[in-house]
Amino acid sequence: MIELVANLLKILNSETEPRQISLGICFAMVAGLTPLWRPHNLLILLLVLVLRVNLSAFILAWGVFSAIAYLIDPLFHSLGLAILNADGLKGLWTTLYNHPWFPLTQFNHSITMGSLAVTAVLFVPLLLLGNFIIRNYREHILAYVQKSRLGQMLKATKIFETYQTLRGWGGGR
Amino acid sequence: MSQTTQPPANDSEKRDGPKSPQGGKKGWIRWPGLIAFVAITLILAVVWHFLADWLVKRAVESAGTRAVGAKVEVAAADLSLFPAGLVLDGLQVTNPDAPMTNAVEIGRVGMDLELAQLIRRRVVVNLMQVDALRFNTERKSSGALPDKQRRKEGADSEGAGEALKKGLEKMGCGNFKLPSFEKPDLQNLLANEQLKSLELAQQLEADIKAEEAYWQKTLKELPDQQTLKAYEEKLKGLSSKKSDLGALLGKAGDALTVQKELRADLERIKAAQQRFQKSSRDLRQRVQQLPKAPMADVRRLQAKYSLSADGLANLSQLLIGGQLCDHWQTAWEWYQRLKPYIAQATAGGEAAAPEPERGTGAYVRFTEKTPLPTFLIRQTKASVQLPLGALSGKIENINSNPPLLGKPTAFNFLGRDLAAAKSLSATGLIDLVTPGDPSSRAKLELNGYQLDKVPLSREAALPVTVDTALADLAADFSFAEQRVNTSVDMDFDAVKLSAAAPAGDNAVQTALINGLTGIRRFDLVASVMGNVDDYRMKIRSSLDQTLKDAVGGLVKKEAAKLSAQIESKVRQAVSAPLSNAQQQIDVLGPVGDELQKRLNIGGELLKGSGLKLPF
Repeated sequence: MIELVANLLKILNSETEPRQISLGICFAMVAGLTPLWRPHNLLILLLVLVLRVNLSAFILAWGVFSAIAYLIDPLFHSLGLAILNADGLKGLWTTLYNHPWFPLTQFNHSITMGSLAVTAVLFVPLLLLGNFIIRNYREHILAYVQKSRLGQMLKATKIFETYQTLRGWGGGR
Repeated sequence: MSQTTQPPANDSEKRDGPKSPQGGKKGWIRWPGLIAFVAITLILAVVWHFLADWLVKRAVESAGTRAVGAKVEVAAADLSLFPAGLVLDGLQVTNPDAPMTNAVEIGRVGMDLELAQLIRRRVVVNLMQVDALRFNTERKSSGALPDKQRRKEGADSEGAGEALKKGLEKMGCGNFKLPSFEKPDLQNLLANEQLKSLELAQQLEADIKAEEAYWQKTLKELPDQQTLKAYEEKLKGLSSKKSDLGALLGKAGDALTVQKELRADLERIKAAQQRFQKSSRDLRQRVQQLPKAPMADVRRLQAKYSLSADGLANLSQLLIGGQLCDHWQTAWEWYQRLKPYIAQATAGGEAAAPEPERGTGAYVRFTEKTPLPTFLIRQTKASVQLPLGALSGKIENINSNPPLLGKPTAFNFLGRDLAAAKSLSATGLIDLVTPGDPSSRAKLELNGYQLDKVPLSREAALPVTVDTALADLAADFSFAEQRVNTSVDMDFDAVKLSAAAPAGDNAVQTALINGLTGIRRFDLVASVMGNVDDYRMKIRSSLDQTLKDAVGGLVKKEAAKLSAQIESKVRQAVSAPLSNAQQQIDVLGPVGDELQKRLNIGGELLKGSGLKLPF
């Protein structure tokens, strides 16, 4: 847990572009909340590797979102069933279902559909929110914390020690 | 895979994005990442390539084992995607009732899969090639499941086992017992059997003794001859003395009193006599009936211990019925294993999916242009290796949802110039297309089948083996509207039968064996007909008449001889108690005489007194 917090701080405090971190978190949300062995996750992997997103943020957030997914998959199942059985969308699903290759996406799987729908809706808001939080954190909170007594105390804690160790490993990615 | 970002030089760099180490602005594309992606994808593909076969092998084994209730094993599996196909080598399906035997063993199964249907999580095989299919092959190790799984299986099949038991009982299975050919030991027979006649004689003897004791006691309690004669003296005394009118009137009154007492005594004696007459009549009747009682015992023992000619009337059923019952039982057990799948298929049961486990989700199916069952093998070509030779044939439309497919499953196998037969053909149709109304029919024809050391009867009393014979067989099976109709017609020619030598000196068994070994040809017709829950088996054969002719006379003679011996022994056993009972009844005669004498004396006295008795 300490390592997790230290990792988070390391990423936030690094000089990586906020958009790279936010995008990594957003991709991690898709990969973590949706079932792993789905073709769309191959696309996510491609994007994560090819686009200059922060890999540490992606890996860290992926672990967190996978744990969250385990907790809320009954919700995804119900939501997915509702979407797949919605009268207004039946025509679309039927067309896609009869397509020779589209069923490979397993869009007709309740958890896949439910989680994909949730992540699609949350992707852009999370990206913008992430950018906003990281920028504000760096501009206002980080400088203040470093100068404050609390910051000085934190530097004496085990978290800071771990953080320093990680930084020594060549952080900043 | 990873990127290295340099600290931004200033605020503008932070806003505009990363820059290259040379000071130029870094783009959003990380080209080495593409190489990493290709590398990861290739690694995944290679891992899949090596794991897929193992995963398929495990999936087939575990699903098969679950379905059969005994080990299903695959030596090797080979899954290919382009073109989609699966090859299974060395498939062994253990017989759950004989774990050291494979019910089915297949050398190689090749499947040509439809990839587009696999994407829809559906197994559609256009052509399945089954090579070297064999039945009842030996296993090197036991195919039994661990206890836990076996117990579960046992609990599931408990109800089915009960139904089978009832069905076999209705068919008469278990009643096909040959009569014993051993001569009973008459001494032991009588020692072990309770003779009804003996019991009757002993009971009668006891009853007579009790009756005699009762009457000896009763005679003492009743007025005896002296008491009656005392009344005479009293009456004489009243009539001999002369007196006046008053005295006369007094004597008349005394005389009436005496007469009244006498009449009362006589009534007691008369009542006792009536009771005696009735009990005496009953006992005499029982004594008269007693000689007939041993005959009932004789008849019962004859039926139990002697072989009757009627018992040989349907000897073929007794000889072969047990074996046919075993075959029926095997067929029933396999039917029970397949029943859940048949029931699901006939119900068109793919629509109602159970509630999925947490985290697994559910697949929603949509209307398709060409809907198909989740499992379909359009055509199966198979080569079958039977002990009598190799067959080849095909099966069409094996599927999990016949109502959806709208086509029945049909099979057709043919073998010519086989190692042990001229030809064999098997055709059939399993029609589960109409939900709730399954029907099927099958026909088997086997010509010129050379039998070699085939057991005809495994009955301990008469084990018979067909050493050699040439058989023609025609079998028809149909099932429709919940009715089963099966008939098997067999003709055996150039027959040579052998039977185990009889135990001891037994003329009937010897004659039967001689009759059997002398047979050169016979026919056999067996049928199982009736409702699916209430069917009957019938077997008839020319063997019946042949054997009846061979041993019928001898059996009758032997039966008569044994009957006479039984009768003699029974009569001998009951003669003494019978004689005792007859002698005992005579001791009751004097009791009747005594009662009559007393009545006579009393009657005379009443007549002499001028009064008329009311009896």
